[in-house]
Amino acid sequence: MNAEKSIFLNAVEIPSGTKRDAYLSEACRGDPDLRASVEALLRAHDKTANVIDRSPVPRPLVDAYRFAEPSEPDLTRFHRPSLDARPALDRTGETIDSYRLMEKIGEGGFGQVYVAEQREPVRRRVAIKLLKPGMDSKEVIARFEAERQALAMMDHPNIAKVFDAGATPQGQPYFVMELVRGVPITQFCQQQRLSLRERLALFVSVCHAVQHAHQKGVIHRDIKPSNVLVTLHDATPVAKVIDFGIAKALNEPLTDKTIYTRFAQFIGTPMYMSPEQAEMNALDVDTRSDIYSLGVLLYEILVDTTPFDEQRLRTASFDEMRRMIREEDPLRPSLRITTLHQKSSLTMGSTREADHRSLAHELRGDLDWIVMKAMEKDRRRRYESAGDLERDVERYLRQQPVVARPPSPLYKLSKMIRRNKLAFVSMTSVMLALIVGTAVSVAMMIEARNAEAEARQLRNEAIQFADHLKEANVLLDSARANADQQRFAEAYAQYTRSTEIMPNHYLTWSGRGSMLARLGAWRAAASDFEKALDLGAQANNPGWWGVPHLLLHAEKSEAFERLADEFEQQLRDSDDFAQLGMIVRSLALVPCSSDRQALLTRVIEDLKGQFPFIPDAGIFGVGLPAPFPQNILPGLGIPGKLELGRDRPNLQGLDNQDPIRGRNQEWSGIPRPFAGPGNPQNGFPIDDIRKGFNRRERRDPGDGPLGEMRRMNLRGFPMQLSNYIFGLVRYRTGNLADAKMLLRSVANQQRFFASTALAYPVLAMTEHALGEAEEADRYLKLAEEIESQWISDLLADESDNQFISIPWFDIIEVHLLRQEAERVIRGRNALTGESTSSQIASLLEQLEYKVMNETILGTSR
Amino acid sequence: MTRLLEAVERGEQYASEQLLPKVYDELRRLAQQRLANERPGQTLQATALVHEVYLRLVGDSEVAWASRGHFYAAASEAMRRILIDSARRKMSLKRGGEFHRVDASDLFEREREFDAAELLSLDEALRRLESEDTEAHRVVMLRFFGGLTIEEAAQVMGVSVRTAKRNWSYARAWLQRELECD
Repeated sequence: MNAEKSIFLNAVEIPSGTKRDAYLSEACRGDPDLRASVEALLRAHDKTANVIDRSPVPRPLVDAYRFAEPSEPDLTRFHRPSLDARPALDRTGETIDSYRLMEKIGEGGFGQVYVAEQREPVRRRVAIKLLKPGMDSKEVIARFEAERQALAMMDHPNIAKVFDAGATPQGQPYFVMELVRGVPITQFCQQQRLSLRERLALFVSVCHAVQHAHQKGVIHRDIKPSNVLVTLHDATPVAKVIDFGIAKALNEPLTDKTIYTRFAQFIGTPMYMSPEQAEMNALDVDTRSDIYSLGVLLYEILVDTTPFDEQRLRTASFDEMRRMIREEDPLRPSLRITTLHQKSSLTMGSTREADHRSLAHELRGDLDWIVMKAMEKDRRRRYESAGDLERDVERYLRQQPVVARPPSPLYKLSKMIRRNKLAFVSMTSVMLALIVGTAVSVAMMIEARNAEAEARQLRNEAIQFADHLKEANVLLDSARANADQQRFAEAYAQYTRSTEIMPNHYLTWSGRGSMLARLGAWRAAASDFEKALDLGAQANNPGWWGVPHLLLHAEKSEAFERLADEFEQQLRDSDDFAQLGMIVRSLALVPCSSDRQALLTRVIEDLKGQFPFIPDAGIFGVGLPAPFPQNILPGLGIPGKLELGRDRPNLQGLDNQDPIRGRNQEWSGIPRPFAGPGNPQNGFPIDDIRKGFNRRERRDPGDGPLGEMRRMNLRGFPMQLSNYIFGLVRYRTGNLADAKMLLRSVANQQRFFASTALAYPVLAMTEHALGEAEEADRYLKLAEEIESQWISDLLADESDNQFISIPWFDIIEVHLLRQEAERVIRGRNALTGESTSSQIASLLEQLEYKVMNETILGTSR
Repeated sequence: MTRLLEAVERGEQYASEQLLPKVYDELRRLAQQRLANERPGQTLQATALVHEVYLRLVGDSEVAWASRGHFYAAASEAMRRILIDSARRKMSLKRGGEFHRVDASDLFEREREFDAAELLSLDEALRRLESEDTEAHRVVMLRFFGGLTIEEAAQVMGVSVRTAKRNWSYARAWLQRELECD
């Protein structure tokens, strides 16, 4: 052996440091060349990305085809730890309905699984899942029946069909399913030592199956390895997702107690449960919960271990477990591999060292972020669909750039701050100081946790981030001030600069978006708000009013749905009613799913219950005031110069009535600019609005607390608007009679309000649905006339005052609803040709162009 | 085939000369056949192929470990040639731009996009390593091209696992240093 080799081999076994240096000096005495070449070898040795570690022969396969026989996949697919110590009776040989139980193939906390022979109507083998006695079989079967139609629509090679559900004479519910003999996907990958690409290929087929189910409206709710079985078809592994529809049928009304038993009995482990499922908000499980579970599954497929410590999760108290799922971020897959390996390297030889290193190397980056994006705690940040996740994995396989990205330092920080229950909304300088401090301590914390090098980089990023944040916030303040002074070109430039400095700071985008929205550049505004939304902006303040309108106007229906989901959440979660009216309007902008209908109805019913004299629809029409507490006003009444209490416009000649600009000098106390959302300086033109109220409101409100409440509401609440909102909801939920009554009371008011115009298109659709063709046509025409008038006025406005007295989102609302009414009443062809509708569309384009090119860039005037 | 391996073991020159072409042809033939039958997008595993070639040529018959060693050495070399041929063609295509002909070696590329230039310079470095240290070179060949584990390579070479590991470790560092100097 040459000297270099033996010195190198000895030195490698000495941990680097002074001891090794001493050895090298001793061994290479008097030969600096030798020492240099050995040190070069040692450096090369320590490199993680060595060219021969990436063999053209894939890594896990190195061990896959050993000299031994490959092991047969075992068929014990239903092996789950049973928490019930008593073994249940083996019922092989019994007949249940037309199924004869042949062989027990599994048992768990949920019950037993048998292979059964079906006699009628077809002769075939099926799997029967026989639930433990004790569940309400009627309920279970009713829930299954509710989903049966959707389940029947599913037809996919990677989905095991659920055929039927029933109950034994003793009242035990059972499910009949396609018989799948296979092993859980994670076990299969390990047993067969599949390569990374093979594993990912299997996972892609699982995503495909889940996407198919989602498209048919079925959410699995319980995706985990034991529900994704792999069988070999002619030596090709095929994954099958089983138990679709079962979790929902088993879903009892959730209480702390039942969910705990569910964890214990049916689920066994909450490992795959999304944070929102762990929250136990049963209403709130959607397809994105399945995406989360797919993320956990992918994690396990890649790393061969679960993201959270199984033992810890199992032994944690109920609340602690929920906290872990909600808050703890698992280690990234590549880091997990490294730490796992460090733990085991004491006992294992270094044989697999290179394998581990190269696997970690392979996972680092794209695969890490794909997994972490799917497993985001905040579901808005997850992949939108199983299809998106699938495509990202495929992009990785094709070595194309993936969509998933590491979270920005801003996001990491804001998450940390949110966790500490600090508001992250306004960036005053006090907050700034706090954040710089937090940034450094965050970096410190991370440093303690992770590798030193990564921490150093993060710390630098955090400090740089704080600098940028400061600069961006100075720009934002200045932009706001300029916009206030109507120096829009300067404001726009500053907003834009702030988006460049802090592209991940959502306030820069929403700030610019607000200004654009007020000016009339609605498509551009929608893009900015969409961006802010992507960055995790919390749409829980008045700055977001009207954003759903913008998104719909710009045909960003995906972003609209996301925002609508968040609004729904606010409706459910928050007891702050301030936003309520605006939220209800936003949600009802488009036809609603049955879930949303139920929600909206409930909100309205709740309001009636909570404030005893919000009248029923039946007495709405006679003009009783709608008694909302004061704090609801900003939600239902619009801050700014809304309802002028003018007489109804003569639609043939608006010259002297001008409902739109309403340059009403009586309002001298109200700051003119920034009518519309997001400006806390807006006063509320109480007296003017009061003028618009009908006479009944002026009667004596009476004494006592009720009288107080009544008085309060008399002072400020525009009843027309509330009648419009209630009418809109009634229309969306199919209560046409009430809708008609409420909306007519608004549309036929003596005086003209913004809500009068809002009511026209909805009333047109209502009349249409009731078969009143003439009425429908009349209101549709009214809507068209007022809308084109408004938009031409906006476009013609050459005065210094860019602002109009009708909030911009009311105009878009009329526009969207009028478009919908045209489609509903006149069919698709209404939107083409020389119709009023297409004229309006072209006016809107001109407006957008004018704002972007003249107002903002100042190219003319 | 068994006889051929035994002949190699006895040191008979003709046998060594026949072994490599036999293994090489079988490997290519099998790969080609698989490529024709598999659906697009499906991948084959080089290692699986090597083992399958072994089963085809040697079968279940009792073969001494040393003789198996000759087979795996030949298979590693065959695999190396297939991959290097493919890399060369890829490089010349880069210069020439002729449309890619589907070939047996393509399926290895599908498994892992291996940079052709990287593979060629590695091959150069391996040749230099062979002249410096045959043992270290052999372990790399068996592991890198033959797909064997360290333990299997040790068995095939008739050395202890520890020796095989040390040789691997040295070769790894040596090659990395060599490639960085280039």
